Amino acid sequence: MILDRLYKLYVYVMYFFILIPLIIIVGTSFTTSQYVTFPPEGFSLKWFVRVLTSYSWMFSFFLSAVIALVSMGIAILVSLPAAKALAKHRVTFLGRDVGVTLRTLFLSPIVIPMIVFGIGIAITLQTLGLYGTFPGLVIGHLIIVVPYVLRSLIVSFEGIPDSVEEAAITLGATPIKTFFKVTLPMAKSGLIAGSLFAFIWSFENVTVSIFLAVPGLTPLPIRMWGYLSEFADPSLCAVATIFIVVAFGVFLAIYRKMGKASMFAV
Amino acid sequence: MVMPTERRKSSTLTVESLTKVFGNHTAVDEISFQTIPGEITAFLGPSGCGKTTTLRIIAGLESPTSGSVYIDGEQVNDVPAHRRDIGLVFQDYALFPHMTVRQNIEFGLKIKGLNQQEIQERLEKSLTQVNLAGKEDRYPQQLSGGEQQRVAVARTLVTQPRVLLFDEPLSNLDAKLRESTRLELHNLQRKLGITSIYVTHDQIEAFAIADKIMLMNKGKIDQFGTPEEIYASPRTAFAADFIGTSNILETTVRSVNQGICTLALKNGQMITGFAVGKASEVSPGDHLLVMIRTQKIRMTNTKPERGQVNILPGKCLYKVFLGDSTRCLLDAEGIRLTADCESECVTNVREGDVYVSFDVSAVVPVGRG
Repeated sequence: MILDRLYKLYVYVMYFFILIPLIIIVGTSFTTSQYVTFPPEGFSLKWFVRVLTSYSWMFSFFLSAVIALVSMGIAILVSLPAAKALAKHRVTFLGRDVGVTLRTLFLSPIVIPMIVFGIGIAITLQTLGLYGTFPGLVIGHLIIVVPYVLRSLIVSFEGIPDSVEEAAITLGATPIKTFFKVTLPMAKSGLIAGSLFAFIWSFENVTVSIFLAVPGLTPLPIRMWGYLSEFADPSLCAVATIFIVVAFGVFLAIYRKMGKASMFAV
Repeated sequence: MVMPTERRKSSTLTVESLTKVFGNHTAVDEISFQTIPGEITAFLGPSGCGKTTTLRIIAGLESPTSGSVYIDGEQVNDVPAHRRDIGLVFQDYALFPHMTVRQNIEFGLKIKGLNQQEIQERLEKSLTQVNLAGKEDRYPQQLSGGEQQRVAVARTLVTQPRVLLFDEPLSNLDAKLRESTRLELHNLQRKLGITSIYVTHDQIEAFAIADKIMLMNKGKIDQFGTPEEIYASPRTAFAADFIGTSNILETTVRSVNQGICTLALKNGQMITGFAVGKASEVSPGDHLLVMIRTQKIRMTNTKPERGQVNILPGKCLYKVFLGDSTRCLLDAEGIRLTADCESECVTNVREGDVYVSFDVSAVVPVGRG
């Protein structure tokens, strides 16, 4: 009884600590004052108007969205065949089974500290002459999002019994048709969940982008970071609020589409 | 009534010296057989005997290390599985979970590119055939195990394959349902006359459904024949042991005379059997394994009067009442025997000293010792 109450209290305290920064930021974005203060003074949408009519904010917002979409798209194209091979087939190199090795290698960007990877990719892009270009940014983001798509696809493919694919084949479907009519539809929830996580992961990334961003090609989180150190007025809170709404929307979409289980799939 | 679209000559399936090696394990070892068109052949054997591997090779899901598969005389080794025109009903049904019953059954027809009208006709007919009319818009997860199994059968039958393969199709059903489904499957197969292979490790299932049994052991064919043949005259100790319940005894041939052979048991007691089959080729001194079915052994307190042969003194160690029959564990001077006696006949027989007897015809030679 007492334990039950303590447990509930604990949960509420945790919620409070998780939510309080969000509440402060969202609240402050509606303030009328020139400074970040909490509780907000009055109510106005002027910071939203300022942000939404600012070319540089909107450019960064769309830049981040496009980078996230493009890297997510390429990640899907790269991951589908790789995940199918790793989950369903024996992968050999010079007669050795290298499935596990490849799996670890493909997932390694998750393990390597992002900042180390950021420096590495910046130097690599410099050598390739892609530093400070849009393709360069996409390449950087692609590498860090592929593991998310790949991992959730591998898990989904592994959950499909071989017999279901074999059934399609004995009913006359070619292996390619079987993949598109049976395997892929059955892995749909994993694909969607993995892709949306990839989108968010790219959209909010700071540690890699900070090494790749140049003036004129600044993703949203980097512009926020720069703005914070120079101005720190409530327009930053307005951007953050928009940011939260977008991220929250994406997660809500995953949840609605696939239910609770998918949130833990990745 | 067989619809004209279904009128199709039953196919012949021939397998020649089929071998499959996985690493250093030979799963299928030089198997050859031919089925009779329209018949069901059961691949029967313990797990790991190679029956499923053989089935998968026939379906084209596995390629043989050597040997060939022929359908109606045409070699199909190099025909990929999706063009073999062979239906396979899987143990786990392997239904498409993201499709309704209708979509599952239509899958093969759409792939074949049939027109909408024919698809509709065949769909409706097969739904009636497997008694699933009215459930076509459900998803597999919304069906019972038995219904899922029937969808799997319908999905395969609707494509009218040349050969139909069943991979332990009933093993996921409970005992009651298994029996009725088996009967339905049997009737359906008879009606359609599709040459079928039925893989199972369950002897009763194989006997009930199959015209021919291919008994397999360690990748080889142990015996091929009708259920009656295999039951009555198993050719090996394995067949005798795997089919039914029996006692396998090691004996030494003492004499062979006018179709009767006298055999010495390990404890020196003599038994008599007919010198047919394997026993007709033996001569005194040879070792011979013989089988006696548990149902053929009688147990009495007094010495039976009729006949002078095959009466052994022994002890009844214990009796287990099983309903119609009573299982008795007997010790005939050092030789352990299991007997399934009619309960009525042995209710009065006390555990302890008894006489064990069996007919001359109950002694079936099954191999050299």
